[in-house]
Amino acid sequence: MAYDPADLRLPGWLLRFLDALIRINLPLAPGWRVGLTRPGVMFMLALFGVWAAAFYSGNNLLYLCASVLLVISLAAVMQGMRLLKGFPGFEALPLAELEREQVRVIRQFAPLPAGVAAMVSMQWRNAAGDFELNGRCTAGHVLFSGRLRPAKRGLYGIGLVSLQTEAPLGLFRLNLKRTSGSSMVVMPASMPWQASVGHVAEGQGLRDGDEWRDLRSYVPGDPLSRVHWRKAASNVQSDQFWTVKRFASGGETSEAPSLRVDLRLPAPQDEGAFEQLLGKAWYWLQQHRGKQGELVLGQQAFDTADEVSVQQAMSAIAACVPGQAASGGEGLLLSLFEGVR
Amino acid sequence: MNSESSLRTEKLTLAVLMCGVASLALSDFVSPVYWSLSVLAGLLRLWLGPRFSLSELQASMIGWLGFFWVGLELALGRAWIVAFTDFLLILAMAVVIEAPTARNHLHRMLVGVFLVLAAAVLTDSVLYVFPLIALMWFMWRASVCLYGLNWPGGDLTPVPAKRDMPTMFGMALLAGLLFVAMPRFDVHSLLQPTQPRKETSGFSDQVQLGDFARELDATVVMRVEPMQAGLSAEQIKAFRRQIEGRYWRGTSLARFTGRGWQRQGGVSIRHWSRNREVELWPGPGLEAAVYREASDHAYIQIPDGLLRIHQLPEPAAMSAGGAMTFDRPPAHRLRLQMELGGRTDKRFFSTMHAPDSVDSSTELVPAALKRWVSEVTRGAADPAGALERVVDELHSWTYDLNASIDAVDPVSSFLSIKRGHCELYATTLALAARSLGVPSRVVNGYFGGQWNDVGGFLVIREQHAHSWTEVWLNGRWQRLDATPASRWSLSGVRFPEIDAIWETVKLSWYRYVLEFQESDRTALAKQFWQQLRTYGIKLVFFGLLLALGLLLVRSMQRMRFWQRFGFSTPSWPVLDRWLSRRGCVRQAYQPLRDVAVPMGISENHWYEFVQAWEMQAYGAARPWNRRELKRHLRAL
Repeated sequence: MAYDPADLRLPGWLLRFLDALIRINLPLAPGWRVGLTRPGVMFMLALFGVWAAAFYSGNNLLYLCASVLLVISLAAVMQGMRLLKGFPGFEALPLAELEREQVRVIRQFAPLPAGVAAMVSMQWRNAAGDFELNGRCTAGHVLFSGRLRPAKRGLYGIGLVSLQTEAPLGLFRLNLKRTSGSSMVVMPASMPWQASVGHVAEGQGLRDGDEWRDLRSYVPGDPLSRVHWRKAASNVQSDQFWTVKRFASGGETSEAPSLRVDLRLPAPQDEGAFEQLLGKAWYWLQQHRGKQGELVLGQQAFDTADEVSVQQAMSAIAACVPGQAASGGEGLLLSLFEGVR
Repeated sequence: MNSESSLRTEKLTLAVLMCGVASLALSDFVSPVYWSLSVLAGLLRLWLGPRFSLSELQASMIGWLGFFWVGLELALGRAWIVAFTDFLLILAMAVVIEAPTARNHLHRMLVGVFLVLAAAVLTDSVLYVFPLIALMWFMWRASVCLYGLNWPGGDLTPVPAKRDMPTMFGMALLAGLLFVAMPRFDVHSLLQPTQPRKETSGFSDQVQLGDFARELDATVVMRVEPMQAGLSAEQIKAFRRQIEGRYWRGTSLARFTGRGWQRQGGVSIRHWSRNREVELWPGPGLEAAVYREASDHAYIQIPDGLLRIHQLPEPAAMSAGGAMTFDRPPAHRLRLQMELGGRTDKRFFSTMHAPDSVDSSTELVPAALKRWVSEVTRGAADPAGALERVVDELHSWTYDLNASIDAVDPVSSFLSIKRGHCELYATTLALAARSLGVPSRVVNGYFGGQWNDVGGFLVIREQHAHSWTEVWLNGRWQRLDATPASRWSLSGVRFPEIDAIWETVKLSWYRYVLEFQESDRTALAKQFWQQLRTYGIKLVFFGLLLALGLLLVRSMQRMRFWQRFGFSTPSWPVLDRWLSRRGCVRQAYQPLRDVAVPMGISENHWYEFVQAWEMQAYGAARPWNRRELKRHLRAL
């Protein structure tokens, strides 16, 4: 903002005084607070001066000038309030597929009823960490941008969100605290893996047939010989990555894949192993989303072809806690089992 | 800062500064040379852009040179207020041509606002409202532009100016309401709006009879309107009947010098301090508000039948000769609230003291005049009858503003050519009375005035300045006016219709802005309530119509808005139904980009479709209607 009284080469003590003043935030209404920016402090001081001169002198032209300056301030505050009040919530933001410890770059447009050129800062805090997004508003829409990096997996309500802007004139800093009913679904960090059908997963390659069954996204480590190069060449223009052929015998192609996740945590296993297990389940769900398949998570089963069920599965993975191990601490192994129905 | 934003901001901050210069240019204290310099520099800056600029150091040198120049002006005797405005305008010129930096933008905004504030004290012109409204507009837009500069990701594009128009309209309305609502405190100071004291060309307290060769001067001296607002047409007509045709008494001149008249050094018989009630006679009367322009004399023009003046705005005194003066000539326009009796009410004359020797002096009465009087009054029974004959004779002569009167012996010259102006008629009559042994004096003031039909008020101009005679007959002062009636058919106003409108605008400005007081707020509220009661039903009806219209416009705008973004419009259900038929379920919050590729659709085609959809949804392309969407989906 090219609007700073510091440009006027004010003495240091005056700038420090201005900085002390701009730290003051006064309550405006329930949930609203208002403070001043540096130019705002100077503007308000000038406004007080003009009103004092008007009251003292009874000069009605000074009354007019002071009214005009006051109205400019009021209009700025009201337009800022209107902007924050009509600011889109989190419904427009893709907060459902965040991953733990992974940076998610947000760049998302949303319609904005208030036509104001403004920058709005959104801040919220929950058990997953502190988050901040910026909304760049121009006529009719807002562009959300920022980076989100949740620290913990889970299902979190957004809760109290702080919206802050200095728009439209850069004189007043308005702050609105409002409660959002939206939630953040923080998934475990996705762990690419390849499981062979009907086998305990860890480290096993895919049991292949002679004919390729379907395609899946490329995962680092896949043999290059299995990349579908013709497809890759045709996808150059789009955002799609390489795809890898999966082979299977003819009889199996009609079967739907299924993943069974045992959530019981044996005594020697730690939380990290549990997170890895969920990461793999999440990876598998991503691979099979929208296709025929079944994810069994503990006692719950989800249909991967049904988007609603997938959403439920995601919530279940995000909210997953280790189950009770069998008596004696031996229990079943923490395991994934991919098979066919 | 990109060049487009920079250029836009540059123009807007320049406009803020020019509003300040324009407002100060309205002041009569400002030399046109200085504000022309600033305007010229501004025009060159607009034309040539930042190429026409000086470094900050060079610009500050201009400011310092201006400072020393103004110091020199003061040393040479220029009035401090004029020198101060000169300095402000030199400073404005320096800021105009300063290099376009962030600091320069702030300089311009600050100087622009300061000039407008300074003009609030240095002018009272109705035209001040234009730079003030323009300042509000340009300051808002310039601040929006300045706020939008240098953000991460580039400058913010301000919303188009036309979208700020309703905001501006609301702001102007709110400013008006605030102006009315804010409390007034009765503390007067130097910060009152000032106007240069006008040099009077008609009325004077010292008459030189020989140098009278004048054009009729249409400069307004006073405006007189009913005190009570919201009168009916009939009431205004009645006011007109009562206020027109009155003499407005200024000064009385008793000492004849042979070539003119001088005011006798009078003794104040009464004195009133500020805000006191001047009560001459009891009883209710016609309530009139008199707006007296600032002039180079301190006289209060007293109309016939004056009963009292409410809340005298400045201290004043009354002399034995019946002249009322402020202690010093006021530097700004004053509103005098007078209460008047009937036009023929002569009680005021009884407040004046009996004549002294100066009023009867015949020392310098020309012999020619004495001879002429004896001829005219031959056979008259008494002095009153003799004076009546003199008046009748003078009425038959010709009124001429530019008669060639001999400056050495003006009265004899007048008697020989029998044409002249009112002071010659008044002088001749006064001297004739003295030669008949009747004490007399010449009184200068105004007579009549011009009724303004547009605004419903009386305008008294310099051209209405008049001289008449007062004689001591039957133990009291009496007025005699010897000027021929043809004098009142003359007028110096060139375009009376336009002038009537302009004068109405000016009086409204004085009445409702410059002279707005605490009491006016109550009167305004009462008037508003009366109007509301009279036109209440019509207002409610029109209000409902307006609300319906606004609702309609708003819903249409809303529809256009949502159509533009394809949100909750008929387009989305169509798309969602199409997606579900192809095995995809889109959540309400889910952008199309995040939806899986529908069954049976090539990925390439799908992503091309998504891209085209987003372009139309976010305004980069023309929005689709339902039929166009279906066409695109069929093409998939």
